[in-house]
Order: sequence, then structure tokens, then C-alpha cells
Amino acid sequence: MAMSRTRLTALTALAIVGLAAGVTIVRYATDDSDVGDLPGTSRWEVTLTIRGESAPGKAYRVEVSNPPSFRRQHVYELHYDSKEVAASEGRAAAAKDNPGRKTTLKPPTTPIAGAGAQPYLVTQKFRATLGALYSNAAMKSGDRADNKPNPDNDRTLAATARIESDHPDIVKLARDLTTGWEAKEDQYRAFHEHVRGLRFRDTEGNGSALDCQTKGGDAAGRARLLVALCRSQDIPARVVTAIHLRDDATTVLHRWAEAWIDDPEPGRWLPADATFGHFGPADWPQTYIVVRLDDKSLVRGPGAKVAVRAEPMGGPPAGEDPPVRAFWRAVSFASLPPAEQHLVRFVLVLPLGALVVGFFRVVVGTKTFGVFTPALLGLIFRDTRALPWGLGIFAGTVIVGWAFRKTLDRYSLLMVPRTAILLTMVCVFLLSVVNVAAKAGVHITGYVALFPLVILTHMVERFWTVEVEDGTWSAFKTLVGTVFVAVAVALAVGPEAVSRWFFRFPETLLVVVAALLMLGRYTGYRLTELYRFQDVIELQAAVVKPPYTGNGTAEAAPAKTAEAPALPAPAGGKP
Amino acid sequence: MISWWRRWKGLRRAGVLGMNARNTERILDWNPRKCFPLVDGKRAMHELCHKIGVPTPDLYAALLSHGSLHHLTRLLAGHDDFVIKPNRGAAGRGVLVITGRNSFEYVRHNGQLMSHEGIEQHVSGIISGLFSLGGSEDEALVQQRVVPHPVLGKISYQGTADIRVIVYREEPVMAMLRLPTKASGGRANLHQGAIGAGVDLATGVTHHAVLKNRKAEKHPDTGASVIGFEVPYWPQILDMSRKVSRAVGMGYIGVDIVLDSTRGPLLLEANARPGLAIQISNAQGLLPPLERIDRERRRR
Repeated sequence: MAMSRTRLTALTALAIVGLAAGVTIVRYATDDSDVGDLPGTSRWEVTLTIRGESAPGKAYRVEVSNPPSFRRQHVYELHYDSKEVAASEGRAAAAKDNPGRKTTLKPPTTPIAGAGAQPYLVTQKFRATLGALYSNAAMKSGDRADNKPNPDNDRTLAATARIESDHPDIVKLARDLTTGWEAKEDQYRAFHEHVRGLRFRDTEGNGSALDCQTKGGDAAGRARLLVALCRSQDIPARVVTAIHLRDDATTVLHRWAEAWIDDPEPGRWLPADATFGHFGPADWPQTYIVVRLDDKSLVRGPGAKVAVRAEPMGGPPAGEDPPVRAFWRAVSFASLPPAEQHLVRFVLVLPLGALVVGFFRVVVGTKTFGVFTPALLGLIFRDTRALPWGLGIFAGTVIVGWAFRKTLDRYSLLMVPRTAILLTMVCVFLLSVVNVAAKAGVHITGYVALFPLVILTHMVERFWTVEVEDGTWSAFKTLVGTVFVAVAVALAVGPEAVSRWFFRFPETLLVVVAALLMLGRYTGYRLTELYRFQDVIELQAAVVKPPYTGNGTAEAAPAKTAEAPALPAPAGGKP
Repeated sequence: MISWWRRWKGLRRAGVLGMNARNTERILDWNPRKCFPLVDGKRAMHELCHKIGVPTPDLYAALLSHGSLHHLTRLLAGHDDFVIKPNRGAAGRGVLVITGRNSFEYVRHNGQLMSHEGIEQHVSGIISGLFSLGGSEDEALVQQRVVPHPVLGKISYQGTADIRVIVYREEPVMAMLRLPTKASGGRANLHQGAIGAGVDLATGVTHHAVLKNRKAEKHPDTGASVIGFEVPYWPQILDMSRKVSRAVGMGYIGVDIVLDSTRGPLLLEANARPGLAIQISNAQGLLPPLERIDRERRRR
């Protein structure tokens, strides 16, 4: 009976692995290039290198804008790499940043006062298809940026320090230029032609609109002047911050203007590049990647310098799209909007974490609190630089909570109120840790925010229960086991390559299921049992005749003594 | 790695049943989940024992709700000594042993006095789920107090010794005697420091003993030898185990039996996930008898 169940499990696992391998092979056979990329007129791999140095002893952060997927522009496989700073993960990232717009990177700990300046280096890498032939979900969601502007909120009519649309000179110039032009598009074109003709002067992107008019300017100044002219005539307009891709020379940052022209209803954003003289979408270059739809800088961070490198990607030209490829593209996670992609990456590796926990519990015999708590902990701290802090806080909370729990036991309280008090105490403890750490100049809020407080409280209850039933020593051993397994999970799911693999080949989850199936029928000894039953091994080796004498039933007894010594070595594990 | 391999081989040769093999091949394959409630609740077990004629401590009363607290005085009236315990308690939590009473107060097993209100409070706590692990509501049971059989007096310190018998497919396969010590606080719980003494199934005589995973020959508190002790009523004990196993419909269970000074062996409870430490107490593996039974049943 047991045999057949084990065999059934093994066969099922084999079939599942076969299925996963099949899917991967079909993927390769029908689609050798990346499914994330859409057919379009050009495909690029872009690398932004950001260097800077923090002010001595000061906390710092680096904010990098993420290019959107919208219109005919599709951005995918965006990721960051840095030794000094890290992006926040999971829910915290979704709450703090809009992963579609920007990513905030921070060093894992804040330097203690007196520390020297810290240099940092961040690279942002992404791939982009320009002039895409179809739009996917990510691009459709990005198209919201093209909705009708609402000047009260988006300030598309406001004067700013560098876009002085209310300056008398600008207003007068705008009025002069529009004389004789009724339609907004014609007025806009007149502005464009005027700005095009101005002298070029490099201001490193800092020139204002007025400066550009009087002394000349670069792409930034020209874009600002064009926007200022539009705004002074009540035409909503915005600066577009972008990257101009060039494979033969240094790729540069670029800016142009977009104005909302609603003469022929329903209205549209009309781009105008007063540097290279492009006007309107008809002759718009396929080498411009939009990064921001405003005038803010691409990167914010102490002393940040940005260098851009872009390489055109080879591979099949993307004119035609056979149905198989279209299918893969439709099911690929790469077509999801960025925020969803972020979540998908997190969720995809959770089963892998569960597999690691399963291995440690079943094969090694490590005791842990809760089944998936170590998996969750490991996943939260998969950026291993945060690991010591996070696990330290975790262990500290459990031990302090346990001391509270011991005190509470004297009152014999009912479960729900008791747990609620415990939750309060866990909160107070965490807040004290945050407070003390902040006073000492260490900012740990990033990690504390990630802790699910209810799970922590539950952990305290579990710790207490184990202590009462099996003793303090056993409870501490279980705590160490939990931390140990959490570290193993963090190491397993941490590498970027792992989450990228699962992202690209989600069928790998089937392999995880197959491995779990096999674990589910694993009947061998646990590693810890090799030590637990040590005495039995030694005594059995010493005894010549096994002392086992029978089961006590009268009719079976005589046969037993004769049979017992002759028993073959029992098959402890393998069916 | 080599040492691991040697240990693995040693365990196999000794026929030790591992946790994974126990869970998959014995419990999952032989103990249907739907039968678990029968052994989890002490009241259901009591009723079952009555039906199949297995002696068990008398159940004086079961209090199912806070409302029934009014009747507590009347229910306790005829009894000078008794035990109050939660129906689904674990690890001996919430057990209150009363050994005597005067007109106002009750005497606990450790000599402490307790008022009637104190008892009511305890019962109320049990019903509210103070001692059930999940925190769910529970029932309070008032049971006959087991007076330990005098032969066990020399080899146990306070508390009540009990006998654990593992029954596989209705045949006893291994047994041990659990002896409370000072360290275990009178509880017959191995990892709390009680002695586990392996009992030879055919003769009912202890042949090996373990204290805190170490081989032991004498009781640490009384100094009496724990090896070579003959458990009284041994045939009855095996017979009771078989009957219970047949009645609960599970293939692999642990049966706990205590020895009362007047009534002899009484069934305390059954366990659907009996621990593996019994193999250490016996210095023997469970696999040889389990596999022998499997083979015999197949032959039939």
C-alpha cells in the first residue's frame, strides 16, 4: 500500500517535471529571443551609471527615475545593481515608491556621525523597444500619461523658476509670435520655429527659458522656453526628459516640449523638439526614450553624475509576429505594468522559499516556529545586507515578547485579550528599538516596516508554548532553527538570477511542486535523528542477540524468538 | 559525511523507525483522519471504553458550559478525592488533583488548600479554553483520582507512573513504563525528565531504562533499580491495548495505561501520533515488529 503510494507520487513528480521541461523546450524552440520584447522598429539595451559621494556623516538616498512603458515605447527587464545602496523590497517599495516612476535606493545602515564621505555607484539597466507594433498591458496602463491635462493639479500652466511664463518679456514675445495665427497648433509651430533659430549654448541642462531667449541655450533651455511660451498663451505644456539613443557616439540626455493642442477635439499631446527640429509625431525619431514627463532631473542623490550607454540589440527583426510568439508574449509577465511585475517577482520565489523550508524540516529535521514563517522571513530579507539587522530584530522581539508572555501567564487571561496585550507589547518593543536606534544614528525603519506584526505576535505565543511543553532549551533551539532556515531561504531566493529565471520561466514552479511531492513521501531518516537515536545504534551493535522477544500473544510467541535474529535489515527508507 | 552514512546504516540495522517513515507509512497510511476526534477528546474515549468493556477512571461529571457551574457543589458532593481536567488539554496542562476535603476547603495533591470558589474559577477557566492549545472553548471533566499501585511506589517520585504501549494493526509491538522523577515534577513526561523503561512484551519485565536520553539503572530520587521490574497485570494490559486499538479503527496508536491500587490497570488515553522516544527506552527499533506484522497479514 505504502509502496504504491510512493510510486504514484514519484510518477506524478516525474510527469510534472516532464511537463515543465516540455514547456521550456517549446519556449526555446518557438521563441529563441526574449518574450519580454515586442516587435518594433528598434530595440535597445540601456545602462545608466550613476556615481556620487555622500556628504560626510550624513544619511543619503538615491532616487532614479524609471522610464515608463507607454505609447509605442516598451520598457522591460529593468533592474538595479549597487554595492553601496539597495532598493526597498515588496510592499514597502510599492507603498513608498511608485515602481513605475522611480526607485529609491538607500544604504542598509546610516553612518554614525563622524563617518567620512561615502562614494556610491548605481547602475540602472533596462531594455526598450521603440516604435512597438502592438501595445501590451504595461503600455496601455502607461498611456494614462497622455490623458487631458488638468492644470490645477499637474501645473501644466504654472510658471516656475526656470520656466518664467509670466515674465513680461516672454508674454510679449509670445504675443508677437502668435500675431496672425488663430489655431493653437499654428501658434505652437510658430513658437517652435522661433526657438529653433536661437543660438546654441551649453548650460549643462540648467539654462532657464529667459536665458535661452537672451543668450541662447541647449536642449533643456530650448524645451523650457518653448513650454514657457505655450503656457503664457494658456496652452498647457510640459517638458519631456528623455534619453537620446545613439550607438555610434555617447548617448546623451535630451529634453523637448509637449503641448496639449485641443483645437480639433478631442485634443492630443504634440511633441516639438526645438533642438533637432522635429515637430509632431509624423517624423518623430525612433531613438528617443521618454523617462519623465516633467522638468525634474533623472537622478537625485548627493553629487550624482549620470553616464548613459546604449546598445542596439540584435536578434530577429520584429516586423512579423507569428501566432506562437504572440501567445508567449501574451502569457509573459514582462507585459505587465511595472508595479505588477514587482509583485510577480516577489510572489514567484515564495514557493522556492517553501521548498527550502520543507527540505530543512523533512530531510535535515530542523525545528522551526510555524511552517512558512522562515520562508517569509527569508524572503523579506533576501537582500542579504539587511539580513543581520532583520533577523536580530526578529530574535530580539521573540525573546522580549516571551518574557512578557511569561509575566502575563500569572494573570490567566483568555486567549484573545492576552494575545492583544502581547501584540501591543510587540509594537512597543519595536517602537523602542526604532527610537533608540535613531538616537544612535542608525535608521532601521526600513526593516521594521517589513515585519508583519501579527506573525511576530504569533511567534511569541509559539515560543511560549514550546517552552512550556518541551522546556526552555528546546524553545531556544527552535528559535535558532527558525533563524537558520530563514538565512538559507534568503540565500536561495536572494540572487537576482533566481528571480529572473522564475520570471522568465514560470513553469519552474512545476519543478518545485515535483520536488515537494517527493519530499512528501520521503521516508528516510532525518539528519538530526542520526544523533537522536545514537544510543540505539550503539546498544544494538553491542548486543549479540536482539532482546526483542515477541508481541506477547501466546500463539505467536514461539515463532518470534526464532525469527527475530534472522530478520533482514529493514528497509528504513527506500521503497 | 562518512560518519552520517555509518550512522544511517546503524539505524537501519537497528530497525529504528524515523519521523518521516512514521508520518507517511504508519500514520498517514493507517490512521484515517476522521478517527482522530475519537482519541483527541478524553470524554469520547471514556465512552468508547465503556462500550468495549475496558476499565478506565470513572467519570463523575462533565461540565460543558459556564451555566453548569451552579451544579458543581452537588456534583462534587459525594466525592472526597477527584481530578478535574480539560477534555482536550495537552501535556498535563490544567489538571487539578484533589486528594481530600474538610467542610470548607479542598486539599490538593501537594498539600495546598483550595476554596470552593477557587475550584469554580479553575473549571470556568477550562471551559473558556484557557488550557486548550488553540484557545477554543473546552469541557471540564471531573474524574476518579487514580491512586498509584503500591508496587510502583519504590520506582516513582510523586505523581503516577504510566505504561505506554504501541499497537500496530491491533498487535502490541513495543511498550515502556514511564516513571516520574523529582525533575519531571511528578509528570510522566520523558522530555521533562521522567524515566522511560523499556518493557519486554512477552514477560512484562523492564529490560532497559533511559533518563534524559542517557542509559539509567536506578531511580535518581528513590535509588531503587528500574531494571528487572515486573509490571503487574501484564496480560490484561496487552489485552486492553488490543481492544482499544480495534475500537478506535486506527492502525498505529499509542495507548496509555495507569495502575490503580484497587481497580488495577485503567486506560487513560490513546494517542494517534505516538512519539518515537520509546525506541530509545527499549534500545530497539520499531521497524522489525512492524514489518513482521505487515508480512504476516499479507500471508493471511
